[in-house]
Amino acid sequence: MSCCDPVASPVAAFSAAGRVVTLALVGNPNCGKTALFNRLTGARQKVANYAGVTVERKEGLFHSAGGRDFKVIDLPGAYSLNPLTPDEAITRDVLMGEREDEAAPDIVVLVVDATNLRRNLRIVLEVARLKRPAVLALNMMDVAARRGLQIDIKRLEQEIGMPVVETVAIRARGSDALVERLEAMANSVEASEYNGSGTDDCAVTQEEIVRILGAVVIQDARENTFGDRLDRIVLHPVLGYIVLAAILFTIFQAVFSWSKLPTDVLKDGVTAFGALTGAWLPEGVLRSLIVDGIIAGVGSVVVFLPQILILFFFILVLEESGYLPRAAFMLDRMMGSVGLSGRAFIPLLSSFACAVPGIMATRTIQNPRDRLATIMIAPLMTCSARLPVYALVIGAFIPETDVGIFNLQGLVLFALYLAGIFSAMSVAWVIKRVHGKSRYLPLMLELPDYHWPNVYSLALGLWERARIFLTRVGTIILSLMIVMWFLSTFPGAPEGATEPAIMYSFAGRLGQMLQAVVEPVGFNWQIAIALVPGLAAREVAVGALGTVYALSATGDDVSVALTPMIAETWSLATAFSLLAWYVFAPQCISTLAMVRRETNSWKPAITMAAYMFALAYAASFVTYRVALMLGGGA
Amino acid sequence: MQHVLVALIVLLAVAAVARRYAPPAWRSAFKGFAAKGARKLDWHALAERLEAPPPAVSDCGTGGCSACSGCDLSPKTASSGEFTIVIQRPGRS
Repeated sequence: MSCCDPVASPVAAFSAAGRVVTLALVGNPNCGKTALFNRLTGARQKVANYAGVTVERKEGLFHSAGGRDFKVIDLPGAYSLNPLTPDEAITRDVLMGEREDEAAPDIVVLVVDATNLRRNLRIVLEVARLKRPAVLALNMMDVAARRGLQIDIKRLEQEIGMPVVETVAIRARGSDALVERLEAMANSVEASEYNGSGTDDCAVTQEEIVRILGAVVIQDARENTFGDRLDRIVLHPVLGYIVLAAILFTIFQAVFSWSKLPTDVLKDGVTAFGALTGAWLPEGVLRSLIVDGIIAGVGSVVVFLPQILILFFFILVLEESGYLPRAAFMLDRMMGSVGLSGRAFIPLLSSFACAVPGIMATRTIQNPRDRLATIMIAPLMTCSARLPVYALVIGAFIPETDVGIFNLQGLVLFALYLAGIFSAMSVAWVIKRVHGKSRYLPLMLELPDYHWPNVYSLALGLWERARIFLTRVGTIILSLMIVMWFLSTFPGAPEGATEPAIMYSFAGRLGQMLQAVVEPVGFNWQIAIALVPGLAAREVAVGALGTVYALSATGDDVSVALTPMIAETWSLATAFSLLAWYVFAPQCISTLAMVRRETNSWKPAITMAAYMFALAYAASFVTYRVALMLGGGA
Repeated sequence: MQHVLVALIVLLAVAAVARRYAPPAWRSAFKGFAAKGARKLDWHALAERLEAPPPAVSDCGTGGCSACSGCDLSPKTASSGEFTIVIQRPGRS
């Protein structure tokens, strides 16, 4: 089951014979619950080396070698059963059987980071007090062994009153012993009843943890590891910022310089395919649909796949390495100065991929005011859907030259990402001024161990990204391009028309109507048309431009080559204006719908759309006028 | 013939776009209208299919989301109100 597949069949159908045993994976953030979930169920839920990746419950099914059927619920990480954030509340509610849609689990699988027992044992002791059938999965035992940490497993079992199994969730067969234990326990769960209390006296629990640690830890972990030495550089008040800037800079340089060859191959392939199809099909409306609508439209989006994959490669490497929480730590002061919680870093970082999961990730933020502020600015972070638009305009207008050791196109892309970050911080600052600053909550962030990125995980992550992107291209973008082609083709030009036929079409007329609105910011009617389907998803604007320009073209040879077409017909001022528009571009229905869902109100969603439209228009207007003054109108 | 084929492709594309982006109330109203029409034509199987409740599926990774990192596959329940954000105006000090 992939992360995006619906559960194919009800649980009842999964096991026709025996009762399905429900397992709940519970533990601190970043202790390996989702890795264990994936290992048990064969799912591909997102795993990363920082806290707060899972913010909703997820379920999967597996059939054990012994013939038992299990339903596994992966829960958001929690430090305690006294929840501070909405995601922790989900864990508590499921565990206590307080969800309307979910019975309490039959067995609780407590996942514990073996290298950090002191912090992880609190929730273990709380769950133990519930007196539910439970098993402790002592995870990351490989890392513990490398550090020289030795734990007396038998003694730990006695102390906490539940079986303990050593696991390494990221390895194949790393959970076999756990499954065997679960099978043994499953036979007796029918008789279990909830008869305990999870209430927690923090001081008493802490004393108990210290006592248990003294009894079970045979040898403590070695200190001054490679990670400690690296942290002295990465978290240094001066060097740390230099490292962070260098990493970000490298990413955006690589997006252009590494992608050149595969992008050119794809572009040539799309052009050749368009020409071949055009030559093979008879003249008529079907040929126009396939060549000008589908190949030109979809083809102009699909050529950006290499750039998207390179961007995600770096994001995945950073996620797996454990560097991201360090970056959050470094940026906490800056975030605090504009009224944001340090916890906002991870949601904002997720928004570089897409604002939808970024907005969901705000559930880890305790303060409602901070959470709303983070939601409101998340779409300003440059999501991957903007990348095709940026890459198209940069490729057409910015020469591929070097400035010193840097690629100029990469520099412009870096500047656009910085503009997104700067505008998000500015809006957060304004929100702070309008709503007042909320009570300061110091950033409590777990700094995980550094890990070498796992090649298999990286490959899998990139495959998932490619699959998601191509699925979007093959479904919704394809559908929108076909609709776009229809609106740009019909009705046809009247007898004796002198303008291109598209000028007389529905889309052409709409574009000319909108031109009055967008003319002050330097957009032509083709851009005005493209912005409308771009409301569905930002990158659709690129495909729409491809279709519109293909239908405006007079010769088949230029019908699918969008980049030279816009380079010839747009001024530099128009190009910069469009880039400025897309720094703020509010066009994303899914993001607005997610804001509505997460805030339970349309008001924030409408406010977001309004302020982003206003900012986009203002930024484009200023950019266009300044560029004209500087001679960019030619 | 070309025109018929193109019309069919465009209709399918419109249906796909509407299915993804039209508000649920519009979709259900359209389905009700279509089911009524199907019954008038004695196409009862089609009408029943149109009137059947939609299966619970995730829209993860389709709409604007190109980076699935945690979408709930379960249908929404009343408890989803727990995420409501309520901002209280700060008192003057």
